[in-house]
Amino acid sequence: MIEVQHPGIYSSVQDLGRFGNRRFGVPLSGVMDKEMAIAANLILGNPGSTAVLEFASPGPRLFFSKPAIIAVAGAATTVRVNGEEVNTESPILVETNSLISFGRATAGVWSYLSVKGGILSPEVLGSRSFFPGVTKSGRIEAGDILEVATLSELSTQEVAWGDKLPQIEIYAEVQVYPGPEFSMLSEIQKLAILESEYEVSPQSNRMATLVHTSRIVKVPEITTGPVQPGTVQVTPSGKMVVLMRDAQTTGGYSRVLQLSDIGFSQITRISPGKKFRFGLLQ
Amino acid sequence: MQPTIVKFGDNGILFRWPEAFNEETHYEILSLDAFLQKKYGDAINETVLAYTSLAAFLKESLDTDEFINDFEWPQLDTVEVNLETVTYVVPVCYEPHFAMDLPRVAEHCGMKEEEVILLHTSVTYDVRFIGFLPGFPYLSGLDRRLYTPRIEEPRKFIEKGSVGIGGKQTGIYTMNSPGGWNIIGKCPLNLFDINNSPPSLFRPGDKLVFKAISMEEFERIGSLADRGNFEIKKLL
Repeated sequence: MIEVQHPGIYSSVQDLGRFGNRRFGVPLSGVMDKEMAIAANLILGNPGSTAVLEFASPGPRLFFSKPAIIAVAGAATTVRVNGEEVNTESPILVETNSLISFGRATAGVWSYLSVKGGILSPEVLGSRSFFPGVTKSGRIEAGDILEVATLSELSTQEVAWGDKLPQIEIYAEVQVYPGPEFSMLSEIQKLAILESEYEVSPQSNRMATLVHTSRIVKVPEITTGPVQPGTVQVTPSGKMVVLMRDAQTTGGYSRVLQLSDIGFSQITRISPGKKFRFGLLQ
Repeated sequence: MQPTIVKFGDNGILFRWPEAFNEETHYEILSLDAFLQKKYGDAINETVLAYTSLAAFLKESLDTDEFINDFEWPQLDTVEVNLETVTYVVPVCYEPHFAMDLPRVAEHCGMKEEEVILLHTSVTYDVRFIGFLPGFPYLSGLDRRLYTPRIEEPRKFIEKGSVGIGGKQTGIYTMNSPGGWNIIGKCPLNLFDINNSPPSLFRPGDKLVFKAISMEEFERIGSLADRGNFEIKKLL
């Protein structure tokens, strides 16, 4: 098991999401950067859907009271075991009573810690993903105990010890489709949205990424309709909001763009203050 | 009226009806939802309903464009919707302790507070869909005379169970949440419970009426509900 000594700034257990209850207003949740979380699982021989610990920088400080094999993917960060920096390119063997800590992320936003066999926090409505009001809490807290699968000789053999984890790639362009209301925009508004340079706001979280631009477009509200992670909404006052994994299931702002799955992973890696553009897929 | 169908992201499909909302649209959305579950249940992960649209999210292995091309439209008026429409009696305490905005609503609507409560409890509301918060019912049927603009500065914290009026809408906050509606009462029930299947008491297509209760009843029902011992009344 893992004891949380320090929770870090924004850490939670996530899998690929809570499917089947969005019609009851339950957000999808799940990891922000699917590609990186899945990579961290596969290298350990876990199914890609196994629950992992997601964290932003500065990360948590974790005490492992039993041996475990872990992998860390996503935002570039150093990993220390009992204070000693270790190689993060491949799986890491953690011995009994080890303290794991992380350095500041130097590229990207979200990191993923996978554990051989998975993190076994309680499954609620078919998912282990944290979401406040559905699970006990939205984030891990100091003193929390995270159950993990017990390591066996057999499971140790499933680990791809020689493989290397993919390095995070940061993009300046985020892939999008036209959203349901895109066709209702004027040509000038469309151009402004597609040609503008955007900056990610530090107020962003797992519900929404706020983006700023100098070319404000204002779009009237719509009759409340379905939204999903990756929906890009514009408010009547011209604020642009990209919905993330913990977003509500319906919304009343105009849905001008919709990120592709690849575009979604791309935007999760852009740090606050960094700039990007949208690249329209047809 | 047949909706339009468009791709909504890599795995999503959006069915849209004309914006003007009416009874017929509501019924057609419920019909299409029932049809999708019956005919395409294996291909669709889940659906999300709203006032004039319905989103279907496909299994990731499927090709969304292909699904749209091959989609076989049902005759929506002939789809059998096996809806056990339940009408729930939802207890609400409208006492001043829970009704911080009742005076404001009464003043805006030019009536006495008792008249606001009377109008609010004399209508059968339709649950159009669930959204905004887990279990939060979007209702239609609010008496026009109670339409009241939202408060100017949304509050950072509205307690679970609070009943509010926002513009033309009324509803119940099913969880603690920020919110901008005028709070006129509080319901002692747990309307969203992860131990129930489904976790939301209300489903699209259900109906509800509000029943005014005293502080004493609020306390009594609340403590029963917290122990899972309160059976909500249903009208036949």
